[in-house]
Amino acid sequence: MRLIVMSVAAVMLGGRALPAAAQDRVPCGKDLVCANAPDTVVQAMIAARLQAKLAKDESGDPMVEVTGEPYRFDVYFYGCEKSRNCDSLRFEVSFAREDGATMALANKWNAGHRFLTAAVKDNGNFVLSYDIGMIGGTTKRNFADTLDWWSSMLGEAADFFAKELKGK
Amino acid sequence: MMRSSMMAVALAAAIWTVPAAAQQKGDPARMVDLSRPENVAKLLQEAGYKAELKKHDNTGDPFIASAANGSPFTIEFYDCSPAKGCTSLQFFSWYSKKPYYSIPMTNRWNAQKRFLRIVIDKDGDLSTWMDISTIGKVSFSNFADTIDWWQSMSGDLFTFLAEEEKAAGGKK
Repeated sequence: MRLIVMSVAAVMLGGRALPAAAQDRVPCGKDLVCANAPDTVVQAMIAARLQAKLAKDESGDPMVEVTGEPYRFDVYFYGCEKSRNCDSLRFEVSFAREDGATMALANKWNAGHRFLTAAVKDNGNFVLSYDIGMIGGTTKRNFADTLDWWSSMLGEAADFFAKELKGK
Repeated sequence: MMRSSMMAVALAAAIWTVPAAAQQKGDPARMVDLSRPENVAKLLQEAGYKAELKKHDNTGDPFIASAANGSPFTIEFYDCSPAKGCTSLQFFSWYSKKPYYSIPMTNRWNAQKRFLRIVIDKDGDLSTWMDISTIGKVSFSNFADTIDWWQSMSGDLFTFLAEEEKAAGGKK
C-alpha cells in the first residue's frame, strides 16, 4: 500500500447558508466537549490515547494535529467567528496523488462503508473525511465513540487500500 | 436553504443563560439519549419534523420515516439490543437513476461539500448518507444541529443536482 499522507490539507469552504445563525456562542457545559472550547476537544483526544496537539490553520482558526497509526490526521474547526465560537469539526486525512486512487475507488469505499467519506480533490489528492456538528456540545462518552469510529474506519481504510491498490 | 424551525432552536440556545437550573423538556441544554429509536422519533417531532417509527419487513430492525425540504428520508438504527438500545444511526435518502448521474458528479459533491455523502450504487441510483454515534448522550441543541445539517445539506444537494442536470444539457 503506497498511499502517502499529505502534511497539510487546504481548508475547504464548509459553511451553512446562514452562517450568522450557526456559531455556538453558548459557553460549553460542564464536562462536555464543544468546538467553541478547543481544549475540550484536545483533552478528549488525549484521553482516547491519541497524540493530539492544538494548532492553528492558515486562517487562524483552531485545528488539532494528530500523529499516529495508521495515518496522521487533522481535525479542523468550522463555523468560527474571529476564530472563536466554532460550530463544527471536520476530521480529515489527505493522501498524495496516486495511480489507482480514483473517483471510482472513492465511490466504492463510499458505497460499502459507514461514517467516512472518500473523494478525489481537484489536485488529485485522495481524501477521507468525517464531519460532525458540535453546537450545544456532546458528552465525553459520545465524543470518545465518535473518535473510535474515526480511528477504526481509518484502520478499515488501510485494509481497503492494501487490497484495492495491490500491484498498482 | 430553509432553516426556519431550526433557527428557533439555535436562537433559544443562544439566549439560554442558566443551564444548571433547567433540565425539563424543551430545554435545549438538556442531555438526550439517541440510542432508543422511540426517543429519537419524539426528539425529531420536538425539533419540528414528522417522525413515524417503523420496522423493516425483512430484518425487523427499527427505522424512522421522516421528511425534509418536502422529500422523504429515513433514520436507520444499527447494532440494536433491547438492553442497550442502538449504538449508531444513519440518515438516509435515495433518488432513482437519472441519465446525468455519474461517478464524477458524486465526486464533485463529495470533494466540495461537508456532512452529506452521496453514492451511485450498482443500479445507477443515488444514495445519500450521514452517520452519527448514539453512545453516550448529546445536548438537545446538538441533536437539533445534526438534523439541521442533514436538512440544509440535502437542500444544497437539490440545488447541486439541478445545476448538474443543466450542465449535462438537460438530460432528464
